[in-house]
Amino acid sequence: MTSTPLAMLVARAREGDSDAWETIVARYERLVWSVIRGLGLRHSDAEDVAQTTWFRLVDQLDRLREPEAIGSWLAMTARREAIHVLRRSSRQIPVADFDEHFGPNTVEPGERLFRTDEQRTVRRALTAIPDRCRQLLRLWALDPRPSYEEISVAMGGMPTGSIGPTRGRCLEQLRNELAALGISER
Amino acid sequence: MNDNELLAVVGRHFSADDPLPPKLATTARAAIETRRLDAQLAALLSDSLDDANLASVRGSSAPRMLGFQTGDCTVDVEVSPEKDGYRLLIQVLPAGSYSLALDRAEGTAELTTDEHGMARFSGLPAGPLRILVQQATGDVRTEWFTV
Repeated sequence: MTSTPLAMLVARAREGDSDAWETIVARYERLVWSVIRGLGLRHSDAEDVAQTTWFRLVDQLDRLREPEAIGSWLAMTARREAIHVLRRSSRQIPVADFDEHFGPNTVEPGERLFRTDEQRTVRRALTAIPDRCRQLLRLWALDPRPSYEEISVAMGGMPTGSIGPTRGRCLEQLRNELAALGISER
Repeated sequence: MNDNELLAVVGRHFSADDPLPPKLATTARAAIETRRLDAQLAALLSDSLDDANLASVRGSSAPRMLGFQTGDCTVDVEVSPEKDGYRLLIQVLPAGSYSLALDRAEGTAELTTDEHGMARFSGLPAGPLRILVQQATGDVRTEWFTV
């Protein structure tokens, strides 16, 4: 997926090549979704904002000066649109409701006992750490992993130099929460 | 657990707990079909939601104002919440009678302005929207925004 340079994919998408477009979407759709959900939009609003973000990219395909910066452009656009919708609707989710707003576990019945237990614990630990920590770790854990530049934009302009150290502190906080909940070493 | 193992746990958590909606994956892939190279793109110049002073009224029912422009054509849009969805008041300048299309992910609604370039639309559902203006000198499309 990463073998074709972005500039070439963008050039082909400009010509209306739907395969090239699909490759671009597949590479960045998790980043876009995570940026929006990390800001606390409810599910249906998040879907609208993500869709607007992709429409806007189609609109801008002919104007993008730096195809390599497409991920940062998407993260910034998604963030700005998400903030608009938050201001419009005042539907920001209080952190206390984090648990309820994240969907049901999608676990196979056979795995249920073990997985739900682990997932519930991980969820509680992630709820306990600061919002920005949760969001940074979520972005960092994406596949493919976003670049420092993309994470910086997605985090509202966090300096790239502080991403690494912050990530380290956030992992430490998460580790402490997990330990407090009884998951230390497995 | 080392850092990478812990991050893998985080990644698994979010993939399982808040996965990409399948419908979004489909519509994002279909977005390339919305290309309209024939129409001039009217850029979003102003959005009242960007106004710091108005941020304090968030959640109120004050209308949202958006302004788009390309060349000497401007499209101003007022978006107000109503009981079921949103109400739009659109003004196209220079004043004149225009055919408009409201472009949404789910389809398109056609309407016409009066001779002053004004048009109203009611019962618009939430979601991405752009406005297409048919002009003698060539069509104009606004940037997409989220209603």
